[in-house]
Amino acid sequence: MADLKVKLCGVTFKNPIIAASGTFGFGREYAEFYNISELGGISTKGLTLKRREGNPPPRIAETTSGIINSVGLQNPGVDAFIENDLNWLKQHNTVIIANIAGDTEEDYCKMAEKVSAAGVDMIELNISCPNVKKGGLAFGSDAVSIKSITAAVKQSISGGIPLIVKLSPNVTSISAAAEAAQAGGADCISLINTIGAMAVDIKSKRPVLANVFGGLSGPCVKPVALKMVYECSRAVTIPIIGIGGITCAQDVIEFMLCGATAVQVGTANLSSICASKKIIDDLNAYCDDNKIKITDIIGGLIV
Amino acid sequence: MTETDFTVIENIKLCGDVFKMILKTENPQDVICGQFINISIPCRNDLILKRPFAVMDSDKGKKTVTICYKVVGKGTDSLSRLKGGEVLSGVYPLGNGFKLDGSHKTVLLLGGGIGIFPLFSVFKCYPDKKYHTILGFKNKESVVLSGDFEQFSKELLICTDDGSMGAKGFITDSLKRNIDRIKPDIILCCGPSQMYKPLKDFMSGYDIPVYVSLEERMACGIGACLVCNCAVTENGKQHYKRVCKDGPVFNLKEVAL
Ligand SMILES: Cc1cc2nc3c(=O)[nH]c(=O)nc-3n(C[C@H](O)[C@H](O)[C@H](O)COP(=O)(O)OP(=O)(O)OC[C@H]3O[C@@H](n4cnc5c(N)ncnc54)[C@H](O)[C@@H]3O)c2cc1C
Ligand SMILES: Cc1cc2nc3c(=O)[nH]c(=O)nc-3n(C[C@H](O)[C@H](O)[C@H](O)COP(=O)(O)O)c2cc1C
Ligand code: FES
Repeated sequence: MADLKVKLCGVTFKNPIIAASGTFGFGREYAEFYNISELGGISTKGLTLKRREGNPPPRIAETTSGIINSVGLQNPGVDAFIENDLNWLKQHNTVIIANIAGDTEEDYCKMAEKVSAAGVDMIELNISCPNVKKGGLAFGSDAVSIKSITAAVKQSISGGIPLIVKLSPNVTSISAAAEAAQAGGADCISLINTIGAMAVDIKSKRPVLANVFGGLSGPCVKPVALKMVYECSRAVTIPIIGIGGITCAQDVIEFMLCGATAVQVGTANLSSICASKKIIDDLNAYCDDNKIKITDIIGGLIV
Repeated sequence: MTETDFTVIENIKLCGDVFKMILKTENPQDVICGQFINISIPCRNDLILKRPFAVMDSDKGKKTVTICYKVVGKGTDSLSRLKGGEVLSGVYPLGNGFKLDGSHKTVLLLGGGIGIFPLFSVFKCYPDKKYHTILGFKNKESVVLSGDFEQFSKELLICTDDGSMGAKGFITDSLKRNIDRIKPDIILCCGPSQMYKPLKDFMSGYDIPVYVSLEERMACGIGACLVCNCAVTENGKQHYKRVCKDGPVFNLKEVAL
């Protein structure tokens, strides 16, 4: 067994693999396939203050080596999550990250208060969801609003729970967004969320998604995500969680070389239910074979 | 439920663009009729989603799972080219499946096009029922599995859109002509989504439960990603359910069309 432990803002992860928000629900469905305590962490489905039904179907289109989704933050609401799912999740030996999204700054702050009081390990601020009309991306698209929402939410968190700000790739300058999050008091940034995209059906001459637009994820976004993670690692001093198109241990190593301390695996969980578990096993073998510990890789890119 | 490797044992053309594939696994599971399997498309890194197909037949002893599929796009086209011995990954059994109880003595199976496949396994799960089957196809050339359905059905009615075999018209037309004679205790149905609205309207005049197996684009297939939603009405309120986990079988009364 290699040493796969990483530390992010004082929180220890047994390995750097975190299930990405929206692809893992609250973990229950995956727990029927493998022991989710094997994961470094789980970022919950994006939570909103009130229950949300999300967008009409169809919500997914497949594109070359990727998918475009327009779920639109369907979730039972933060209170229902705390009441029905959080205790179950806590029984597992993995880091629990509450991913929150709001329509207003007040929403974000209320939710941050609620989840910190209920006791999660970290909070991930989703200011980058391309699939909801109000809020979401509106907070994440310029440096001024990123800084102010980060600062406001940071104030609402109790118990010293670290705040991750999840950045949108749909911006002019990702490093400016990262700097703004850091200036607002973020303890960590995660990136990337999905890239704005659409799909067209030539037979019906209609968009495939009922919502017209969706967010692109999967292997096709990895090169974009790698570049953005690398840019951010040069722009900020807070740790980075790399996200985007990771399907195998090699991808994880690429992100860590570019400066990520940990990674999130999203779409790969949908392609293969046990993908995250396999990535952990393969990372373990890689570190054993090369006689290194995982932290040796971080930021090791030779440019 | 498991995610496991399958070896292709047989992959043969039944007619036109419809194929039958027998898969073998070292990890066989119990399957309820109407449940489905989500399978990967081997050697296609561009197609990252698994494809859902009804489990037509499964034999735990022989460790086999049989699906029938129609070639409609890139994934099913690649599947149709697989040879015996090739390996793919599958997640199964998924979804709720069709459930019958003692009060359901006469069962009417109503299937159109590829919708006939999920209905095929009902008889195997519930061999003691009296089955009447109405199957609809585009034309004579696209009729498949009629012999197999005939074997367990007390009566099999075929309709084709162009009248080249059986009655001309849709399965809903045939249902209207025959329902009062058949007097089913329950109707199990799967077909093109456009037929559910007229079916629901017509069946509102009857006190016969109708269960339909819905199709929606899927990703995880296990209920986690929420991309496969369909609208249902419960207690007068409309909300979304997951076709992969809460379905694919729903009471037609609840399906919002
Ligand atoms: C529960 C369930 C059971 C099914 N059982 C059968 C069966 O027994 N036999 C059979 O031939 N077909 C069945 N289908 C439909 C089958 O899944 C699609 O025909 C197949 O996914 C098409 O893949 P493709 O790559 O060839 O098509 P493409 O159009 O290239 O696929 C693009 C994407 O859309 C999805 N998609 C396209 N059509 C459908 C559809 N009708 N339903 C759901 N997703 C779709 C694909 O999975 C893929 O993600 C079933 C669908 C569901 C949801
Ligand atoms: C179906 C689906 C739902 C998602 N829902 C959320 C969400 O609720 N909140 C969020 O922050 N990100 C959400 N995401 C984005 C992912 O967490 C991740 O940032 C993105 O998919 C890129 O990583 P990947 O290529 O590994 O999937 C979702 C992605 C998918 C595919
Ligand atoms: S396909 Fe993921 S929830 Fe149904």
